[in-house]
Amino acid sequence: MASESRLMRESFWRVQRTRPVRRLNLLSGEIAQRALLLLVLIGILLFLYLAQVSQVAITQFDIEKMEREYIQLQEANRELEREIAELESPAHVLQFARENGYVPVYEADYLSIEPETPAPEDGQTR
Amino acid sequence: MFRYERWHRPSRDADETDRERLAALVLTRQRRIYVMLAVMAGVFAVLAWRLFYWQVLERDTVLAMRPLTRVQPAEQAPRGTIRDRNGYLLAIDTTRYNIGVSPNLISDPEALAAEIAPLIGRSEDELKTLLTRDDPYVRIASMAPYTVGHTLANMETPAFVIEPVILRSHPNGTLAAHVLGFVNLDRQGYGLERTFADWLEGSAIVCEPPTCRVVSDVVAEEVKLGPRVFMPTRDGVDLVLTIDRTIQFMAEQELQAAIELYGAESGTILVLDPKSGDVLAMANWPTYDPDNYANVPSERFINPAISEQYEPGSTFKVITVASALDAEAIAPDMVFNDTGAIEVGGRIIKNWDEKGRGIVNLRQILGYSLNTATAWINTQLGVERFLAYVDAFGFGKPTGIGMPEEAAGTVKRPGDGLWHPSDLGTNAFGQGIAVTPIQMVRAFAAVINGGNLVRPRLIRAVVDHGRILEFEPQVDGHPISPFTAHYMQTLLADAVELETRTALIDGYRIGGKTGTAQVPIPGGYHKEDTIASFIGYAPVDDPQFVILVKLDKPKGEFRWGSQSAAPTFQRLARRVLTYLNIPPDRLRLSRR
Repeated sequence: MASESRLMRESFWRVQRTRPVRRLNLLSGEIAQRALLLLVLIGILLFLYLAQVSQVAITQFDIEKMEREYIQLQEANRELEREIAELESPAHVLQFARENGYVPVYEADYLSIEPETPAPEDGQTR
Repeated sequence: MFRYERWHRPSRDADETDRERLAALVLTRQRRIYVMLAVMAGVFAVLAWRLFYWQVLERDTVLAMRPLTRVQPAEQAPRGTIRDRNGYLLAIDTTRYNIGVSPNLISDPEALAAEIAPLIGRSEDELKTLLTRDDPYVRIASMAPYTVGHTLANMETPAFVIEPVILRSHPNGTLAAHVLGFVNLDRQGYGLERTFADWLEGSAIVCEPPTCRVVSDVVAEEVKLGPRVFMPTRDGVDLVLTIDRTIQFMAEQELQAAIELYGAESGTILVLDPKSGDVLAMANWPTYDPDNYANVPSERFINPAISEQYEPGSTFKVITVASALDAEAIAPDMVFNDTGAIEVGGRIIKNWDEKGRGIVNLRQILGYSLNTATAWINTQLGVERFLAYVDAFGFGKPTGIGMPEEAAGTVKRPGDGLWHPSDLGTNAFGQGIAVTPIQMVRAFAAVINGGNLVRPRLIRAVVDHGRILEFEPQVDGHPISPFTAHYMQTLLADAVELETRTALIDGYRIGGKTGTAQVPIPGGYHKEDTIASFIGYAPVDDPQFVILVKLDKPKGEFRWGSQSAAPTFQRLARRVLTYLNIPPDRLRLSRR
């Protein structure tokens, strides 16, 4: 114990007795720089990942919203189609026609239209 | 211990150098720690900024992203639609809404009650009571229409819980109710909705060539997982029927009018395209509303046109005569001496009026509807050949129209315990043999379409997610030759002109045959009740449709087919001719 130097006792970094100086040396220099760089890169990647995740979440919200809108539009479309079918159903058309003074006609007259003969041009005879 | 001792043992010469090295080492380490802390602080600052950005600055945007009103997803995919042959909608799924509220989430019940009361059709007070109840969930509207559901969903009030319910809707009401049918929640039901439930719900492969023809194709939707192949769940396919909704409407109108006019109990009208077998109309009375089937007695759901068998009466004489002509058991110019009665198999058979008409030819036999003559014709044909023709015309077995509830009819045969030798005579004029309307109209179509026994069909095509699968008409046999069919075509027109003038249409030549069958009761036949029927076609030279009219138990003089069913045919056929734009014979034939 008496062999501990004053510098060691007063240093900011309390060096444990069991920790060899050689190991501390390993963290210095180029390796330490790389480790820091790696940490920064991981941080950036984490940030990018989080940004991406949040963007995905936003897109998911958008998709859900659009899906809801799509389902609503489909429902609206089906409802409109049903309403159109109801309005143009023969029973409805008949009722509408009667209300507006139309009467049913059961017989149709057919006209036979003969093909027209082209008139002779001026100066020509048949 | 050894290393500790070695390392910590101070060296007198190197003491100063060690001190400097250690100081440099500590300084470098501190710098690294600061840099690391700065990086971490930077990352956390960015994250904190993002948090602040979304939670505070963009709060409204985030809130707008989620729906405030809870609209639950529907539990099932919509079923496919059913359309008529021209694409008009006959059945479609629509959405209704069960609307509930969570009263504890309502800040101002009075204002909300005032706002939505007119929308859901409840009084403000009633609604206010519901909205202030001490329940986690209160139902305020059931089966609300689309407009109500969507308006409330768009109000963005967190208190609302909106539950969509898919309902089957038939926009034409009772039109073709027996054809369309319905399916209840247990997948039990009637009609096409039941028969083609798998197709409509999209849970089955529709068909494979050559049963159907792929008109247009899209990408295959099969999923292959190793050796297994399956079809993923998807929306149902759309059915395109052979039914023409306008002809169906006309048929139902005329049938209802006939039922009322002639005092009949019930009735059926079938309109068939004799060339393709397309069922253009299948009308039954009484009918029901498939949207409100819960309040209808279940026996009314049965489709009489395919499921109920009856004795066809004199309309069956057409089959007998055609068979005998085709088998050359009789000649086209045959004559018969009608004395008013004939004995077949030990039973005396008489005409409907119990009168004899002397020497008659085929035109008169069919025109006057003589039982004696047709019974004699059948004796010339013989039991074996007669039954062979009955089979060839498709009686005694389902037509294959594709409805599981189709009846087979009843054909007695020697040796089955039911057959009596006199049946050869009575079967000739449609007594003692039971058929379904669809069998009868199909067999009649074969008589006038060149001898082709077309299979009646209700499904014309299937629209399967972009693919149109068209079904080809099918011919199940050729019971008679084209020559015989051509002769019958004219003979039936002559017969109508001779006696059944109630069926004639101005400007058009039509063919057909009346039928008046007694109603069988235990131990014999009812004295008064009849089934009046008429089967006819038009135009004679190029048949475009065959119509069967069947009226059950018409009253008084209308119990005769010529007095009730034939005029009904005439009224309907005239309308169908106009609708199909078929000009009168004089115009049409002069163009040829």
